[in-house]
Amino acid sequence: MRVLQTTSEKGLDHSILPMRLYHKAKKLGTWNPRDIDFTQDEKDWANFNEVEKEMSLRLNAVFLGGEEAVTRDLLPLIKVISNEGRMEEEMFLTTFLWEEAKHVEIFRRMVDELGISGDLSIYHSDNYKRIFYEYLPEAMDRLTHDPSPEAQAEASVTYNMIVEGMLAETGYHATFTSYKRLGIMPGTVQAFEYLKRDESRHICYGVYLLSRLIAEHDHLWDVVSKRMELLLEPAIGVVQDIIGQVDELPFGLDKNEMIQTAMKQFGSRMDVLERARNQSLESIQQAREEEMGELL
Amino acid sequence: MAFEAFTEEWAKEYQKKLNENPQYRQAAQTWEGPIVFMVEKDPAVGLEEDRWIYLDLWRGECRQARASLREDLESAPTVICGDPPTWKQLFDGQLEPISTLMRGRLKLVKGNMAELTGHVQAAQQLMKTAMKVETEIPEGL
Repeated sequence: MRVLQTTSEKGLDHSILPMRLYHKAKKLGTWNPRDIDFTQDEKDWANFNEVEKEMSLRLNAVFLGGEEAVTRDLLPLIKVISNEGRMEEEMFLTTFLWEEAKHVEIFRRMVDELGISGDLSIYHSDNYKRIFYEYLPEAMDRLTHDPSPEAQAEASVTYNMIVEGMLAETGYHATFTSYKRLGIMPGTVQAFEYLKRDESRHICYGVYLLSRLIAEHDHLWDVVSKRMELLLEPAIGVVQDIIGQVDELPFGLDKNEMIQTAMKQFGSRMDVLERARNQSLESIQQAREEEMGELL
Repeated sequence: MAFEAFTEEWAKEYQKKLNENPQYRQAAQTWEGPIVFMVEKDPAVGLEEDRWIYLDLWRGECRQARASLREDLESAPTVICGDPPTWKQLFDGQLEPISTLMRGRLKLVKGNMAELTGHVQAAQQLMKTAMKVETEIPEGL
């Protein structure tokens, strides 16, 4: 017979990191994509030159496709966590999935408000397709029949570390910073502010999940390292496919700054994961959000 | 036969392995320019001076490899440097090359990371091939 955690003596542990992220999500993740005003963005878009429009479209196409992919692919992980009876983690993951759905909504809304039509997948490069059409769905779908710690680690590296932690975070940060610096696209800037905050919680959970898995099964450090190495090549390729299109990027986007941001985030998270090899489960559960890479 | 890391003989063996590697040849078709790999001195492990090798890379071929001269450090557009434990862990397969570079454990002391990442497949094959050279590591590491 199943045991229901919250009616047992165990109750809910509000002190552990995923539960703290859940409480944060209830306060910070409730923004409504429909409330964002794109009136000025439409005017700014109309004034963009062809290079700026092309870059803006390319970015939107990869962001929108990425958000749809992570929305569609998260469920198997939630099921695995649920089956393991980790109620607090499952509660956070419900906010996670809901937020990803809103991210799809906001990026599609940007496209619609700007009057863009047509097939945006033409901007999905081969590297992009390897990650978002193959590696990500395969790693997540594997969890439906293989809930092993190894499968969870590979799934989380793909989803949280590479897709969210490297690609989304770097792209959102660069676009947000550039538009904000130029004082353009205020609705988009506001949306990115919310998106960055949501993603920061998601990535924090991913770092927590991987740290927990590594602390429980030391050999998973090698699994994580090898998976990272496999995915870094197409992931860097995705960034290069975007920034390598033109000699000088529009909107003051800086190629080196983007690469350095991605490297810094990647490096600090790998350091956290490596430290987990020598940490107790309890210390990981009680870790502060910023120790697990939450930035906002 | 094992070769002492970052010596003339090791560099020549590395060149041979690179030119025998079809994956490197394919991945490096657009790579045009020399690179220097350096190991930092560490007297504690018997390495009294920095040591470095120079590879002249041209469109998938390694045209020249040598234990490097001082002027190579100035002329090579790209120099990657690491301490002995990091190189050892790489040769032992305990570290992955691109991750190690991304984490800053291997340092790009000269060159442009954005440009280097534009050749990520080539860089990966370049590093993986180095790991295939039978390498003698100084005692004490």
